[in-house]
Amino acid sequence: MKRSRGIALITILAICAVLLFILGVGLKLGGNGVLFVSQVHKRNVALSAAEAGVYEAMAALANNKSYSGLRTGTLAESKATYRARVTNSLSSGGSLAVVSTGEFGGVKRTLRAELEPDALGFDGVSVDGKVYVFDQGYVNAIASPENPVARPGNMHTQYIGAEAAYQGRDFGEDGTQPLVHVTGGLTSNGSLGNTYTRTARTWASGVNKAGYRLDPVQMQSGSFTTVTSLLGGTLSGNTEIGTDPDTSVTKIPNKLIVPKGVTLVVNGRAEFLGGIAGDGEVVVNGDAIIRTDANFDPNTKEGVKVYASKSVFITHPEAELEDSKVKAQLDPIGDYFAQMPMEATVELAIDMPTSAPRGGAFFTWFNSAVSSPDSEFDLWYNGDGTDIHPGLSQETKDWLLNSDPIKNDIANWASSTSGL
Amino acid sequence: MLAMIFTLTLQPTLAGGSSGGGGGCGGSSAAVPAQNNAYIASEVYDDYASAPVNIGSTTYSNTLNGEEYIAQLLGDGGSRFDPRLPGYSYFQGLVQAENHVTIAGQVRVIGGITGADAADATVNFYGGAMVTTNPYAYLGAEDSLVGGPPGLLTRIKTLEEIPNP
Repeated sequence: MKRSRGIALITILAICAVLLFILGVGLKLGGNGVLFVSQVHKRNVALSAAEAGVYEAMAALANNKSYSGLRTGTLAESKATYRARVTNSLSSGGSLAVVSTGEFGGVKRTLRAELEPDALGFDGVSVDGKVYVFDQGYVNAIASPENPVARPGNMHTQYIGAEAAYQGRDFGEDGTQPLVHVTGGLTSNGSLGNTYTRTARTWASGVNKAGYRLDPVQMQSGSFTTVTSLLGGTLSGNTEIGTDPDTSVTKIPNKLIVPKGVTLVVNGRAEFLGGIAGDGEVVVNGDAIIRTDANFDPNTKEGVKVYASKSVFITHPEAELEDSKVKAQLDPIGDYFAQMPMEATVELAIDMPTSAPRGGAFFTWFNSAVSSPDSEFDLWYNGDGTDIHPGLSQETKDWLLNSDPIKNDIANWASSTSGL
Repeated sequence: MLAMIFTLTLQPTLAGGSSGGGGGCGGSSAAVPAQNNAYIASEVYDDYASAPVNIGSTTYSNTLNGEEYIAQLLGDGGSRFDPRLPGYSYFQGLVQAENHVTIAGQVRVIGGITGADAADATVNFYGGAMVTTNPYAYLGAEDSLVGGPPGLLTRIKTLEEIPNP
C-alpha cells in the first residue's frame, strides 16, 4: 500500500514538473514574441522616420536648389526622429545624395538616397519670343540620357503682344493642321493662340516665370588658344577661332567634340557641318548652324551648351537651308512614334497577349485583332478594372488605332532595318 | 523607305540678307502662303543682319534596328526606353540664341532651348522638330548658367538601407 502511494506521489510530482517546464517554455516564448513584435515595430517606425528625412531633404531642395546640410525633425504621432544630411554637388556636375537616419525607441535605421533632378521642374523650351510650329512640333522629357524614362516635358514663353505666343502654320499648304504635342504643361505669359491643335497635359496663359539663361561673358572668361581652322575631332583646351564677328565664317566639316571643362569661342558664323557633341561649352558671336546625325550617346550626361549672339539653326542631315529657306523631309513612321503617349511605354507591356508579334508585325496584328478581340486581347486592351490588369489608357488606344494607315509601312521599315 | 517620305518645302525663315525688305525671301517657294511671307518680312527678316544661310543635305545613316525597337517598346529585350525615333537625328545639349532658334526637320534636341530674348525673336519648329528636356542639361554649368527657379524638383534615383553611422 505504502509502495503504491509512493509511486503515485512520484508520478504526480513528475507530471507537475513537466507542466511547470511546459509553462516555463511557454512564458519564455511568449515573452520573446512580445519582445520580437515590439522590436519589429520599432524598426519599422525608425525606417519610416528615415524615409521622412529623405522627403524632408527633397522639400528643402524644392525651395533651394543649392541646399546642402543637415535637416532634423520629429514625426508628429510616433515621436520618432530623423537626421538627414544632404550632400549636393549638382552645380559642379556631381551628385546629390541624402543619408537619413531614423530613430525610435533606441532603434536606428539609415537610408541612403541618390536624388536626381526631375524634368518636371524644367521647361524644355523657355524663351521670351513667339514660338512657331510649322506642321508638327513636339516637346517631351526624359529622366536622363542614361535612363531615358519618359517624363512630362514643358514649354513656356514669356511673350506678351498683340499676337498669340504660339503660332501654327501649314507650310506645305497641303491642309496639314499644325500640331503642338506637349507631354507636360504648355504655358505662356500672353495668349496661347488657336492656330494649331494642342495636345498637352495642362495649359495656361498669364504665367510669368523666368527661365534659365547662359552667361556668355562668363563662358568666354579665361585664356584661349587661337587657331585658324578646325576640322573636327576632340578639343583639348579652350579654343578661339574667327576674327570678325560680322564677316568671318568658320566651317567645321567633321564632328567636333567639346569635352567637359572646355570652351570653344567662334567669332563670326559657325557652321558645324559634322555636328557637335560632348559636355563642354560653345560661344558663337554670330549665327550657329548645327547639322545633326542619327547618333545618340547615352553617356553624354549634360550635352554641349551653345550660346549664339544671333540665331541658331539645328538641321536634320537631309534638311536643306537655301537662302535661309528650310527644306525638310517628313518620315511618317518617325512622326507616328513621335506622337506616342508618355504612358504607352509602360502600359503596352502589361498583359501583352501571347499571340502578339514582338516586332514590326505588331501593328498589323493589332489592327486585325482590335476588330475581333479574344479574351486575352480584351484583358490587355480594356483591363478588368483592377490595378493588376489596368488595360490601356485612352491616349494609348488612340495612338494604336492611328497606326492603321501606316501599319504595313512600319512592318517594312522594321524589317528593312533589322540588320542594324 | 523613300516612298514613305514626303518632301515638304517649308517656309523661308530667319536670316535672309541685309538688303532687307518684305515680300518674301527669295522667290523659289511658289507654294509658300503669302501671309507667311508677310510674317517673315515684318517680324524676322528686317532685323536679321547676317548673310543668307545655305546648307546642303547629306546622307542620313540610320542607327535604329526597327524590330528590336518595337520589341523593346512591347516589353521584350531589356529596356523599353529608347530615345531614338525612326528617321530622327539628335542634338544633345542646351541651346540659347539672342535672336531666332530654328529646328529644321525631324531633329530631337535632347536638352533644352532657352533665350530668344530679342524683342522679335522666335523659336521655330519645322516638320516634326522635337525638344526633349534633359534636366542634366541645366546642371553642371555653374557660373555660366543663371536664372531659373530658386528650387529644384527631384526624384529618387536609388534608395538603399545602409549601416547606421
